[in-house]
Amino acid sequence: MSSSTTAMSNGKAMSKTSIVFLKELKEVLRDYRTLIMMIIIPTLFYPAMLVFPATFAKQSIARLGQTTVSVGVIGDCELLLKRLQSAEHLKVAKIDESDYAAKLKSDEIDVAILVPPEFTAAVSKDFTTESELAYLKNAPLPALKLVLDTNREKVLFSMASVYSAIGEFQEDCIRKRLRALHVGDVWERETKVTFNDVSPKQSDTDDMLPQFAPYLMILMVLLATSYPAIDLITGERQRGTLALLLVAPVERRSIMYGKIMVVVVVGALTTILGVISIAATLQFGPVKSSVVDAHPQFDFGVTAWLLILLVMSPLVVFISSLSVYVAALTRTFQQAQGYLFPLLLVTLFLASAAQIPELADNTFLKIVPIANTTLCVKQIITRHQSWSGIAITFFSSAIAAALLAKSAAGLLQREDLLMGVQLSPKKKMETGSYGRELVVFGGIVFFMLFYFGQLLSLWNIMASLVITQIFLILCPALAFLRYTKSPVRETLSFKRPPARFVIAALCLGFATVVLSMLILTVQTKFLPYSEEYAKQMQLMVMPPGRPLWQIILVAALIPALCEEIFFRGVLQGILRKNLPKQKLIIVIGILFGIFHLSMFRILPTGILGILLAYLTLASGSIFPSMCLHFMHNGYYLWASYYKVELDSTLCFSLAFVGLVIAALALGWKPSKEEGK
Amino acid sequence: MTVEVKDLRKMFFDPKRGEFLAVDGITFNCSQGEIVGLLGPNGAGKTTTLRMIATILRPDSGTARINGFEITSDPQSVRKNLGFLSSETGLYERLTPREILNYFGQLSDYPQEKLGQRIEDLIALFEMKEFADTRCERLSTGMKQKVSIARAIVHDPPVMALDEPTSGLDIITSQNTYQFIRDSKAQGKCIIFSTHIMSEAEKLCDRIGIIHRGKLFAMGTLEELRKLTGAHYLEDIFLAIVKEQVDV
Repeated sequence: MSSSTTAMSNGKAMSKTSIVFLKELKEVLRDYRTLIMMIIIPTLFYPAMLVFPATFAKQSIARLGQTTVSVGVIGDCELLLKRLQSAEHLKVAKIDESDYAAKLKSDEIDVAILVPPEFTAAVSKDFTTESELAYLKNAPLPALKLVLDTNREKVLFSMASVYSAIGEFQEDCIRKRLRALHVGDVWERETKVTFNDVSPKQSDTDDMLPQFAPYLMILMVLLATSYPAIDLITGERQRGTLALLLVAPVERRSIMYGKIMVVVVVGALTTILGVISIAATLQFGPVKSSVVDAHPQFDFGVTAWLLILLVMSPLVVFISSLSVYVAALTRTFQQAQGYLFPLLLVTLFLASAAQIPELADNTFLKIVPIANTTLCVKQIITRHQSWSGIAITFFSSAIAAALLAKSAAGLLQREDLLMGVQLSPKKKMETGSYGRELVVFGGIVFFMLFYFGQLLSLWNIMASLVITQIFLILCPALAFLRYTKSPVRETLSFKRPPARFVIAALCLGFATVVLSMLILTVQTKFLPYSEEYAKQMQLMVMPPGRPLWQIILVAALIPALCEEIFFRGVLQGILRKNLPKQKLIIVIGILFGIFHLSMFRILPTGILGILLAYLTLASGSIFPSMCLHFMHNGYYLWASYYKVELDSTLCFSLAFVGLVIAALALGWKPSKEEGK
Repeated sequence: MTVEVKDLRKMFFDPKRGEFLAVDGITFNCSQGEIVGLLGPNGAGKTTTLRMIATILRPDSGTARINGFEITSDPQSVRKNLGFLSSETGLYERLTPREILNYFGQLSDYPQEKLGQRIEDLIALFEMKEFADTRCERLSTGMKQKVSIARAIVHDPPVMALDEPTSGLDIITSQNTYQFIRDSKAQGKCIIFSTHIMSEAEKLCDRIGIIHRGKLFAMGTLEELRKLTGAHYLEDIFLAIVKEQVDV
């Protein structure tokens, strides 16, 4: 009965969503600005962006190659003069040494060739006498001196004509000498160079196109979706029509989903049109010879474009939801446009992460939306894609898109956004309404960890661990606590814990290390990781030449304090007000996994995070989770230091014993706690 | 009673003022065929009260029932039974009046088979035939006001919440609104109407509530208020009540 009622209300919500969707779509399609962004720009502007620079560069190079260069020759070498005069695109004149500088300056000549008298003497010899032949054996041909202004584009591009004329002259001289030495015409250049391109590695190619195309695609979606998103959300608010929807018997989520769907449609159409027009331009347009034919190592075939559309599709939903999310935070068009710029920066920032070779190899990047798609599109174009890479990109982006859409859909519930109703800090804390601040805060910490943390680790691993923990994790956490004016002890759960939780935490330490090892073993079967990564991890936990106590201090004790204050203290302390217990534990666990910035570590650290969050919530104190975190890292470091075989029977037995004691300790409830 | 409002409270926060009660325990009711006016200066709490009744904002405490449905536990049923109109509400510029009426009719679960006829009736009632298929961006203020009113009642709700509906309108357009309010009353609708214009309240309302700084100081017919204060004109009544309450 109740399930049929739920199904009915779900069906109703769906039909209301479709009513909102159809109306919004009609309105959007009647807006010429959206149409321009959606149809005109992708079909004309983006291909033009590809065509113009390529054609322009090609034509200007060709034109410059055809330009006649004025050459002034200083010296009396008739043979050279004749050779130069017979060359194409060269206007040659003899000039005096005294005024060549002035003539160069006044552009009367483009190049001056200074011929030293020894050169003339050398080239005019016939090598018929013994003495001349002796000279040939001893002295090289004296050098010519070319004077030109390299800042002048025309000169640079046209120098080929001058060089080739001089080159031919040199060849003549060499032939003459070889004949004198009776070697005859059997002569070849000393060094021959042939190029054989064996599909260069992605990081080796410096070609613009594979770098530029993903940027263009992502920019295209963002620009196309941001306008309708602002129009549908902020515009509705500014025009005073939002209140009408709020008093209509429609779920607020249905309204938002209807709107998000329209933005997704606009983004999808833009992407499809953009991809079709770019593909068509490359295949049939004037750049075919200079781009497609000139780069056989790149894939511009139909399958490649279809793959690009496939990996772009969840990203379209993600960026659409992002646009809607940002629009929902703003009250006026001006404000929305102001928000758009930072959004653009963040998007380009993420897109550029994939272009940095050091970061492009980072496995975590493969699950960061935007960054992973940029990387994947680039790999498809350069024929370096793998199915697992495409699948990871697709699904991670799809999950991120779904979460973002869900979160954006909930924004109409918030009175502060709807009506500008402000909540006092006290009330915000009581109701846990720090969502927006938490997103911004989390985002900043995440970016700082991602960039600075990695850069620092290149410099000094031990120091980077300490700096990262204290300045990028602990300090921001405490600053956030201060900003929200949250009560410190209560939020951080700084409370004496019941003894059984401490016992459980101490006993679970070793068991969690073994568990992580087991998870990693199973995971590696599906998600094998590179040796490079294993080496990096090893270096991270085991910097060479350091005693164990130092490593434990830096990689176990400090993280146990700082990360616990950040995750189980501040994040959990603030989020526990607006999330039900189970959801809270899972969210904290997942965030903990993600913050370790490696795709391979998400699952094991995520599960550990869930356990840590549970301990804090169940005991009401942060100290058991600090204990467990310290024990876990400590045992792990100890096992790595002494190369302990974790999959031995002894280790399994120890882990099992620890697990049993922990289960008993957690399961045992003193009578006074039973009511809880 | 069609509308029962009981002890509604809503706290706002302002960095300068700190926390303050925008609505402080307002209680009143309104029955079928009655027009109740909430009279007060800007910032008195009229709009916040109506927004809570219309389920746009959630009250911090207190309750209201609209046609028997409670605003926080069953907001969807409340919305089906309520027509909301305010001077701040706009229209979809790129849609025609007919499309707007159809959209809100569909959203409000008005029976699909009757919706077409209902829209035709409203177009005839408000004399919108000439511009029913013109996009709203090309309509005059008067035309837009007619569309707004028709939009508010397309689902034929028994209760109307009107938040300063004539604010910013010229005298002729205001007359259309007054006529609509009187007609609604004649049809037995329950109308709650907020205004800061004394003459409007005097002309239209069966009962008037005096609101100031979030509190409802007095509620009664014009005669009752006159008796209470000894003043004749509403302006004097208002000042007398507000002065007395605030001074105390």
